[in-house]
Formats: sequence, structure tokens, C-alpha cells
Amino acid sequence: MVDNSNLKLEEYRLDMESCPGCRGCIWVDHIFCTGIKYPYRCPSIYHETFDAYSCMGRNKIAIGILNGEVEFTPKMLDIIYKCNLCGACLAGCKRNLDLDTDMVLEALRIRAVEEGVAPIPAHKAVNDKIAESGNRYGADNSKRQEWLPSDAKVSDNPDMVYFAGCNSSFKNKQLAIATTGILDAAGVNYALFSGEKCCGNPLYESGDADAAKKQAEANIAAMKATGASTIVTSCAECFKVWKVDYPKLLDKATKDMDYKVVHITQVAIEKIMDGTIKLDHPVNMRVAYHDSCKLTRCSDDWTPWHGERGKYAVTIPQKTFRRGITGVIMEPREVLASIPGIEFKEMIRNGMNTMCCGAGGGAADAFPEYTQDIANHRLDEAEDVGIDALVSSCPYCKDTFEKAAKDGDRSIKCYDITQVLYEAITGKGGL
Amino acid sequence: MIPQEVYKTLELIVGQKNITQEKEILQAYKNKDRAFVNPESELLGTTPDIVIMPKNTEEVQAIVKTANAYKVAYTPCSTFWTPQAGARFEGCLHMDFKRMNTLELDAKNMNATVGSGINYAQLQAEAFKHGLYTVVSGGGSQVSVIPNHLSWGFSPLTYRAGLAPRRIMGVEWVLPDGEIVRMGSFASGKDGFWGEGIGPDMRGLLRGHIGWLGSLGIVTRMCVRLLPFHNVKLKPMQMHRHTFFVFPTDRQKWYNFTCPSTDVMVDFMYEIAQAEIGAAMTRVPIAWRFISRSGCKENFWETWLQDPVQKKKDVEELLINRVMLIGYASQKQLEYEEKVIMAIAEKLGCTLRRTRQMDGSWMQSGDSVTMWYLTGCFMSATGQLDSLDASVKAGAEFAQMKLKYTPPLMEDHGDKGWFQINDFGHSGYLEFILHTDAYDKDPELGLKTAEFYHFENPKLVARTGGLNFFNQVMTPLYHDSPQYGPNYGDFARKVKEAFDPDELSNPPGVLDTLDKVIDTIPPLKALKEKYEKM
Amino acid sequence: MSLKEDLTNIAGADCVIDDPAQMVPYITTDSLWPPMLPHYVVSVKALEDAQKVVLLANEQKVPLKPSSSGVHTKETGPMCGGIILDLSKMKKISNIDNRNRKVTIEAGVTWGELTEELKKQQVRTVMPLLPRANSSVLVSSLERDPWIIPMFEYGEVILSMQMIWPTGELFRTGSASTINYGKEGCFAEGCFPYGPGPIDAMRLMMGAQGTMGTAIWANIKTERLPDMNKSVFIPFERSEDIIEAMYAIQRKRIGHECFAINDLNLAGILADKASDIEGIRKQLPPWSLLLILSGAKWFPKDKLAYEKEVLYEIREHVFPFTEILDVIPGYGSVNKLPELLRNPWPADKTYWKDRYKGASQDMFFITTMEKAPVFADVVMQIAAENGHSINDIGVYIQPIEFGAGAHVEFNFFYDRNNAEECETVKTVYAEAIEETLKMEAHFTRPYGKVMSDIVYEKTGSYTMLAKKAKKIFDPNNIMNPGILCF
Repeated sequence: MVDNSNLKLEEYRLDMESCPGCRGCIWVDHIFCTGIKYPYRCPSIYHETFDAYSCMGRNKIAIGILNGEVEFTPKMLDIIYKCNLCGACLAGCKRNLDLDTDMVLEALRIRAVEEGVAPIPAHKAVNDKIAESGNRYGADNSKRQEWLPSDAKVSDNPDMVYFAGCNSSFKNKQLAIATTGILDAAGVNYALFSGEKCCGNPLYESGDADAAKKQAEANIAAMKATGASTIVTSCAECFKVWKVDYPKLLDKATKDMDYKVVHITQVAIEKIMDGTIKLDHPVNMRVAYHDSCKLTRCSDDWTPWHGERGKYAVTIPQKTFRRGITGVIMEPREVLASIPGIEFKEMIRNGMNTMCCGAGGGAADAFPEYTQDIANHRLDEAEDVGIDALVSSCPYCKDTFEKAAKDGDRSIKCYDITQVLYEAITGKGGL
Repeated sequence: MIPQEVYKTLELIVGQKNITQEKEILQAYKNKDRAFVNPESELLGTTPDIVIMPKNTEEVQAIVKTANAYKVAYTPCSTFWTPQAGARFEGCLHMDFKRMNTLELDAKNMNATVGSGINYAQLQAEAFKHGLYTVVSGGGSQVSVIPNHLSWGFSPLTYRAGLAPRRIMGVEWVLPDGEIVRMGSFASGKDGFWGEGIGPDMRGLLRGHIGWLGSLGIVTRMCVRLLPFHNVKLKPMQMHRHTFFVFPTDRQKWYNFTCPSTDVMVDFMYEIAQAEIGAAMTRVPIAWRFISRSGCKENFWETWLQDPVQKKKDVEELLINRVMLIGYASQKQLEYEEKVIMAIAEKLGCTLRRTRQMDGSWMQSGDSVTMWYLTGCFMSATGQLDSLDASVKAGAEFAQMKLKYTPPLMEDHGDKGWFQINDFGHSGYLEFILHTDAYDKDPELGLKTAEFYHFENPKLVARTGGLNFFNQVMTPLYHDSPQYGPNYGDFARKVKEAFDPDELSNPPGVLDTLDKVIDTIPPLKALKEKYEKM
Repeated sequence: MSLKEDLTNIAGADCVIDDPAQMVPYITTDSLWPPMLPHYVVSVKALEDAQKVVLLANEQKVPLKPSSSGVHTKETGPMCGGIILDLSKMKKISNIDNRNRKVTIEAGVTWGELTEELKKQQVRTVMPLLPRANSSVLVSSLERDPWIIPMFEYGEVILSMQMIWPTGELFRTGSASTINYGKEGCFAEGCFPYGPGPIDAMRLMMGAQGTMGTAIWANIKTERLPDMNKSVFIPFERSEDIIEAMYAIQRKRIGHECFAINDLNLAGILADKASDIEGIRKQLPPWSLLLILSGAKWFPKDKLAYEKEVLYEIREHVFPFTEILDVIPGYGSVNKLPELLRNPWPADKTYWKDRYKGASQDMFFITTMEKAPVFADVVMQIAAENGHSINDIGVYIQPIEFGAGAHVEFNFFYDRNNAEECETVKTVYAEAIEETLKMEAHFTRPYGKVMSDIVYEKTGSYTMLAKKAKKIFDPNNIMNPGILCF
């Protein structure tokens, strides 16, 4: 049983009841709206259409659950889990109202697990693998760092630890190789840490907060053992988990954690600007950047709140609201813009208005057709922009787009930004 | 409960994917448990029996005909923005128009034909691409274009763009019995570019100063007028949580003027209109400035309640007329209009303030929802649609009465209402956006709010001569409505009876609604009886 | 008691006419089709008397037609039998309100009277193209005559009005509907046009040709009468080019009066006397664009300067092949245009449409401007095929509301005394309606039985709706029966 009030559904009743139904949670911010073709940033409502598949609808459903009016039926679980937890609602609602409706979505899943109806089977299968092997693929975790090039300049006394994550460790090893290549070129003092396990994102997003908390504790302990104070990730999900979910699970503020989390693009741009990283190999390509939702909207610092409401429901003490506005948005663009040969174009929905690739929130495991539909929608948009390649900052985005492009016989290429940058540095990115 | 045979019939119309009676999905359409503080949603609001999503006019027609055949009531809903767009009684068929998302824009003839699911953000974005614009209503860019044109449609841009009813062109209308009527030039062909006739203008049945809010059938397609704009792109920007357009200042600018008195501000507005310049004009209530500058609600209340003596003085003396000028034709037009407005300001003793050249509220209305920000709810209690002079005079009286009801009304330091000038100066507009504490469930406060909102306020509206928004058709006892015209209520009822004798179109309709609600709540009923005897 | 006695009791013996000879002024029309005779004409001077007449007609189920000026310029002749309610003596002009830019007029106020009165205060109403000085302003406003100034977004000039429903109940529209309108303590000034509530009586009355009720007075919009103007004349050879020019001008929102007119119509307007028409016509281009740039209240020269600059920029891009002229061939300086176009056609002069051949059968509809040339081709072809000279057709294209639509008017000029010509015009008129309707011409104002029968037959669902509405408001169908689809 979760004992952290910030993860309890009841904690957010006022937020649910204060929803006026403006649907800021689903639309691209009105100021940035470009017309009728791509109006949504919420993938769930784009795919399913009924209001239940929006944060606004889920708010009402959550009230119904608290009031005992509805139950966790299979349909209910479909509604709750066919959502990418992509922060579209977080940014949309917080444009005007400080309602923590995004937390309603997470707390609903945690409540479902508490009620014993979740994790849903597809998520349970992944969670079991994590429990058994330490990674989401059920692979031998002792081989997690087999990808590490022998010439990588890892330090024995690092300032920074590279947390590769499951995907880059086992599936897209070229991203991990590219990342260490970038770190080498940047000349930073880094290492990997032994005992790295899955970050726990699948656990948390499935609603199993207890398991996720244990994962957090184990990873943090392993990280501390290296003596480093900074975690660098190339995976948007890992980034968000270390920065937001670990403190959330531990009921601490991000600023009070004794480590700092950075994304590889943040490290890279600094070293590109100061001339340390040399980009000697032109990448002749028209590219657009897909903002990974976890990196963009979901990575504001977490600050727990334990207090009471005063008149007009003001928070006492004053709550620090996450509004999805401090994510990593400019750095990937600056990296791409600095690479010779690249012709950069913006996606129609970009930055805070990005739409998830469709994989987030455990959807790729549980609802592959849904994920594919969203990915295709996003690829349509990329093709409308007129590019050769879609670049993202998350291996899961890359996988999702790559599969959809292949299945749809599309010519568009899908890369992770580390691949592109590594190509520009070494000419060995294999693009 | 709606019989299963009805469900099966409806399923044949829209396909299995687009209809549901799964209770989990229906829960999301519950017209209750939402922040709209409105007796209808609080007391009548319920969950529909079926939700159906038609794709086009023909499907809507088939649904409405089925509903008529089985005497099933239906609720049309485009974006679910108002409580009237949801089920207000048991056994209701809820029509969600999200899939009716077509938009055809004729740039040359400045119109766009939209389906019920299109919102203002989409329409405005498409219009901008062609050097055109529409009036995004004060309700916000999230609001659906068709119902808003049919029911309201005001913003400070109304000053130059004219009134919303005038921008309703061709209309495709499914009557309450399921017959399709094509109005305006849709009656003569496929192009909906024109709104009038043939012969008598039947748009007169569709909306007056307000609309039927779904209780007289469903408009499924509407051609709306767009207006010439400049052709420079408005650049969207984000700063912290705020999103806004940066104005191209050689073609479009804001001017904030401090006026020495309300009378001078009103004169200023009239003079600008008589000068035939300007694109938008509004008085800025001081609370809005505090909202825009506060980082969060907590910060707002901390500053807003500080030093009430000074605040009262600010509210009385900090009188800001916010004017937008647009060089529609050229940069020189803007320069000319600026020269004129500065000359008028000098003549009247108004001072130009520093003004940020950005906008997130009117060209697109990104922040209308901030009205919920302060107290969790708001109500547009008082509306005045007449001359600007009439509006402002009435506003002063309302401000006096409002003091007696503060609290439960939020402390606003005596603000005299938000007013603007419409229709190139031919009419004015006043609105009191009033807040109570949505989280305070004290029944005594609730009763006092009800007394203000449902009884005292309408009485004052009637005396001072205002067209009071939606309240006109929903005021208990009909303090104002049946006597307007002076017999408009009778004719409106005749229209409803002729077109919807079984009251299937969005019951309980707009007439008599509130009486029906209030009669179910003993304390309110007692209050009503007290006023009946007065 | 007889109907005549009842009417006499209401209005007085002097104000009730049942002698056909005396009815001539009330039934004269421009129509090719003969007028019908009413049984009575009753003149009233007060709202209460008008109401009594309506109540009486409704009670006795007698047809009733309101008449404001007795000038029937279109196919608006009275029904057969019944009562003409003559409102032409209701001539009060009041509340000239230059702050809210409005004036209150009674039904009998004519363009000539109102224009003169407003001029005294340097104001005007927006006006159709040269209306007859003795025709009713209120009727013009209700009947949606197209205004020659397309720059204002509002095509509806009525702010509020007093009307009488066919059942005899009084009704005020818009914000004049408020309970205490005009009384102490009520601030309403009747400036808001729509409502009250979810129906709009004003719009139901518009274009209704007196079938939906009787208008008694109205608050209508006024505008400042500019005292500094720059008029221009732009000649065009092709209608397609003049249309593109008007699109460009209107999109930039410059100028006040703006319209396109063919040589015959313009000559008919400009000629001092009818015999000059052909001579002037020969000097005119096939198409003329008349545009008046107007100075505003503040810095009028500056306004004219920027508008003129924009106009010349448009010329450079859109119509570089023609000139912007200060002189109209055969007429003289364009500086005379404001005086000409901002006044009604003098009552003592033969109406401009009647000067060329004595009469004109007008056919007009609304369309998008770009379609106007196509319609013109079709109409000319029909005329030629039926033996009506295309040289005897006037054309007038009036952009409305920034050119979002246009009033396109064809004037088939004919000699009323030439039976063969009359028959030809009748044939051309009916065929032209049929053909243009097929091409989606939007006949918003179907005057006369010929046009309304053709139009309403093709627009079934709207006709059904109109009939249903009519039944609600006029259950006994007393108001102008036989008109439109009623």
C-alpha cells in the first residue's frame, strides 16, 4: 500500500472537481494552433475520440471511482491505460489553471494496482521481467554493459555517470555507443555504474509505485557508490524518472536529491559551443526534431506538497506547481542546428505542443495498434514538413517511428539525436 | 433507459465504433462534477444513457428522426463548454460532434464553412493563413464556432468586426423533428457565402441576442464570415506558462491609456469610434492586471487583498482604456490611426502607458479559462447590451448593489464592470464577471448568492434596461424576459411548440428552465415565493 | 358594423378610402404586371391606430398590407382586396443622436426628408444607389437594399424598432425591447439590434415585404457625413478586371462608396437629360468603377493620403493597364460624385432607371463577385436570343461587406407603351431568373409572383421553414397574402 499522500487519488479530488471542461488538456495551445489538420496534442483523444479518453473525461471518471459510482472494469482499465502520460494535459491545464490533473492520471493507475486490478497483463509481463532480471527485456543483466567500446574513456573517479537504460543497453546499443562517443569528444569525466538496473519507468507507469520505489532506491544507491553527482541519460524516459519520479516516489523534492540529472544534448551543446566537440563530418540531410514528451513536458522538477487548503482553495503552504515548462527543448535544436549539412525544419507540433510518439505510458506494451496509429499520425506530420529524417531524443520514440515507417513502407528515416551527433563528430554514426 | 432497439437503430446509422452505452465512457460525459457553478449542472446535471458521434448532417438527421420516432430526448454537444451542452435529465441521448470537423475556407470571398466540431483556434489559425481573421469569443479559443455564433460571440474585436449574428452566413440546420433546412445561400446552392433570405430572414428563428442553446434542433454546418486582416504573420511565443502572439508593430499595436475618470474613458471610446479608427477597445478591470501578473492563485490573493484602501483607490482611479489599432491596409494606416488616437487622448487628458506588444487573449483567446483561476468558479451575472452610455450607467448601479452581496461575492474593491464598445461605436457592452468561493459549501452563503444572482440582479437589469445574456431566458419568475418586447416569451414558446412539440431537443430548453430547477430546492423555492409576493 | 365603419371609427372618415380612383397613388407600381385593387386604404398617424387596424384585420381575417410611402419600386403591388395600411403620414424624425450615431424614424419618413434633416448635423445614413427621394427609408432598410458603402461590416442598419405582430400585439426589438424603454430610470437607448431572447423579430421582418408584421418606427444607424473626399473614376474594358479591382480595394478596407456599373446605367445617372444618355454612353468605357475615398473626423487629409497611396499600389499590382482618373468622360470632374451619390434621386426628376426607355424591369440577386461576369454573359445571351437588345440592359454590381458578396442587378429597359417589347422583357426576365437560379444565384428578395414562384419552388426546405414560421406569427395569414411563398 502506497503511503505517500502525493500519490493518492484522494489528494487530487479538488483538482478533478475544479476542471471546468475547457479541454486545454487535449488541444495544441491555442496560440500555437496551426489549423484543422493537427489540432490535438493528446494522442489518446486523437485515437479514441470519446471524451473518456481525455484528461477531462478521466477526471470525471476518477471522481466516479472515489464516489463509488464506477468500478475498475476491463473497459475502465482500457480508458486509464490507453494514455501516454505524455504531459499534454499537464501543460494544457497549467496554461491557465493550477490543477494537477496529470497527477490524477498517475494516481488512477496507482489506485488500480492497490485495488488489485492492475498492472494489466501486458505491463505485468514487463514488470515481472524487471523483477526477475533487472531489465525490461528479461535479458541477462550482467551483460548490460557489453556494448561499451573498449576505447571509451571511462573514468574511475567520475563526476558524471551515464545511465544508458534498458533500451540502449540491450536493443539499440548503437545509441549507447554514440553517447559514450559524444561524452568522450566532450572530454567529460564520466563512468557507467555497475549494478545499473531498469530505471523503473515501466513499473511506475503501470501504477506499481511500491516496486518503482524499490527500483529507485536500488539505482540511487548504485549511483552514489560511484561518487559522481550527476546522472546523464540519452533516454527521455530515464531522464524523467531520475529527475521527477524518483524524488516523487521518495517524497522528496528534486532539488533536495543529492544528484543532478542532465540529458546528453545538454552536455553536448555546451561542449559544442566552447569548441571542445568538433563537428567535422557534414550530415547532409533535411531533418525535423520530434520532441519526446518525457523530455519536454514531463521533466519539471518535482516538489512534494503536504498542506491544507485555505479560502478559495489556496494552498498553505504554497504549492510548487509543475507546469511542463522547464523541459529540454532548445538544446537538441541547438545541437542539430550546429551540425554542418543539416537543414532543420520544425514539426508542426513542436516544443510544448509536441505529440507523443504513441509509445509512452506503457502503451507500446499494452496497445501496440494504438501506438502504431499515433506514430503514423506523427509521421504523416513529419512528411508534411518535407524531411528526410525524423530525429528524436529517446530510443523508444526512435523504435516506434522506425517500426511504423517500415510497416508503412515509408522512405522517411528515424534516428536518435545521439546517432546524428556521433556521425557529425566521427563520421561513424552509420546513418 | 433508452430501449435497446433504439441503440441498435442508432448503431446502424453511425457504426459500432461511434456509439456507446458503456457506463465507463458515459461517466466522462456526466454533466455534473464540474466547475461550472450553475444550478442546471449542479442540480439537473446527470449522465447520458447513450453517447453517439455522427460524422455529417445526414447522420445527425437520421439520429434525430430516430429520436423522434421513439420519443427519446437528445443533447447536442460540440465542445461541452456550457452546462446546457450536457445531459440534464435521465434517459438522454448525447450527441458528440467531435467527428464533424470539416472546414472549407474561401479566402477570396472571406468565409469558411465549418462543421460543429471545429473550434475557434482552428478557424482563426486557418484564417490567418489567408490574411483574414474572425472574432474569437470571450469564451475562448476552445469554444466551438457554430454554437458560439448562435449564442454569443462577443469580444473586444467586436468593435470593428461587428456583431456575431451578422457573421452567420449559410446554415444547414436539422430541425427538432429531423427535417434538414438549408438557409442563406445554402438554400440556393452549394456555396454558403451569404446569410440572408430568401424573403424573410429565418436566421431570426435561430438566434436573437442569444440562442436556443441546442433546444431548437441542431446546426450541423455553418458558413461564417471572415474579415480582412493585415497579411503579416503573428509570431507565437511562450514565456513561462504564458503563450502569446508578438505583434508586428508596423501593422498592429496595443495602446493602453490611463483616463482621468470613467466619464472621460467613455468619451474617449466614443470619440475613437467617431474617428472611424481602431480594431478593438475595452476597459481593463484592475483585477485582470493582477491575474496576469500573478504567478499563481496564491500570489494573486496575497497581493489583491493587501492594502484595501489603496486597492479601492486604484479601482476608482486606474482607469485603463486598452485599444488595438491595425494597419489593415498599410503601415501608413497604422501611423495615421496612431496620430488620431494620440490627438484624441491629448484632447481628453488621457495618458499613454507602457504597453507590451503581445496578445494571448483576443486574436486567439488562450487564457479565457483564467476566470476559474481565482475562486474555482465564475458567473457572468450582469450583462448590458445597449449604448456604451447605458451600459456604464447601469454598471454603476450594479456596483452599488453588488456591495451588499460582498461576501459571498469576491472582494473586488468596488469595480464597476468590464465594458467595451461594439459595432464601430453603435453599441456598447458591459459585463460583471463575478466570483464566489466554489469551495465554500456554507448553505447560507449559497442562498445569498442565489438571491443576488437569480432575483436582485435580474430585477435591476429589468429596471435599468439591459439584455441580460443567457439569464434573460433563465431567470426565475421571469423578472425580465416575458415582459421584454413586451411579449417575447409567448412568441418564443410558440416557436418551440411548433418545432419541437415533444420537447426532445435538449430539454428542458431555455425557457422556464430555472424555475423548474428552483422549484426542486426548498430554500430556493421559498426565496422565489418571497419574491413572487414582492 | 361594416369593415369600413370600423376603419372609419379608428382613423376617421378622411383617412379611409374605398374609391378606386383615389387609390391610384397607393397601387401604382413599376411592374410589367397589372396592380391589384384593395378594398380600402386606411391612413393612420399613430401607433395605437395602426394596432387597432391590425387587430381588426386579424379578427375579421381580412388581408392587410402595410404601405410606408406608396412608392412601389419593385414588384410590391398590393394583394387583391383587403386593406392597405397607409403609414406615409408617420413622418417623425427624432433623436438624432450623434454620440451613438443613430436616428429614430417613423415608417413614412422618406430618403429625401431624412437626408435633408441629417445634413444639418453633418451626418448621413448609409444609402442604396440613388433611391427615390419619396421612398421610405424604413422600407429600404427592412428590404435589405444594398448600401453603396461596403466598408462597414454591418449590412443591417436597423438597431431596434417598434412593430406590430400580425395578431395585433405590439413588439419592440433589440434593446428597445426592455421593459421600461424610454422611461425614467431605464438607460436603454435601443442601440443593440438583436433579440430579445432567442428569436429575432427584426430579422423575420427583413425581406418579408410586409408579410410578417408592420414596422412603425426604427432606430437606424447614422454615420458622419465626410466633408473632405477624393473621388476616383476607373475605366475598364472587361468585367473580370473590374471585379478583381474591387476585390483588391475592398480587401484593403479603403474608401467609402464603391461599385461597378456599366456604360448604359452610368450614362443614365450622369446625363442631365434623357436625350444626353446615348452621347455620354459613347464616351464611357464598358465598365466603370466609382470610388469615393473619404476623410474622417480627425486629420482627413492624412487619411486620404494613405488611402490614395494604397489605391495606387493596388493599381500597380492588379490593374496596371488602366488609369485612375479625376474626370468622367462626358460628365466632368469626379468631385461632383459625393453630392450625387449621397443624396437620393430628386423626386421632381424622372427616376434614373426610367430615363432611357421609360421603364425598367429589374432582376437582381446576391452572388460572389467573381461569378458576376459569368452571370452577365448568360443574361446577355438570353436577352439576345429573345430579341431584347443587349444594348438596352443596364448592369450594376455592388460589393457588399468588403466584397464578401455582391448585389448584381440587371435592368431590362423597355418602352411601357410598346406591347411587344413588354412581352419580350417578360420572357427574358423569367428565363434569366430560371437560368441564373440554376447557376446558384441567390435571390434573397424575390419580388413579384413570377420571381417568387420560380425561386421558392427550387428552395423547398427554406420555403417549408418560412411557411411554418409565418403560421406561428400570422396564423390567419392576413399579412400581404399571395406575396413570396405565403
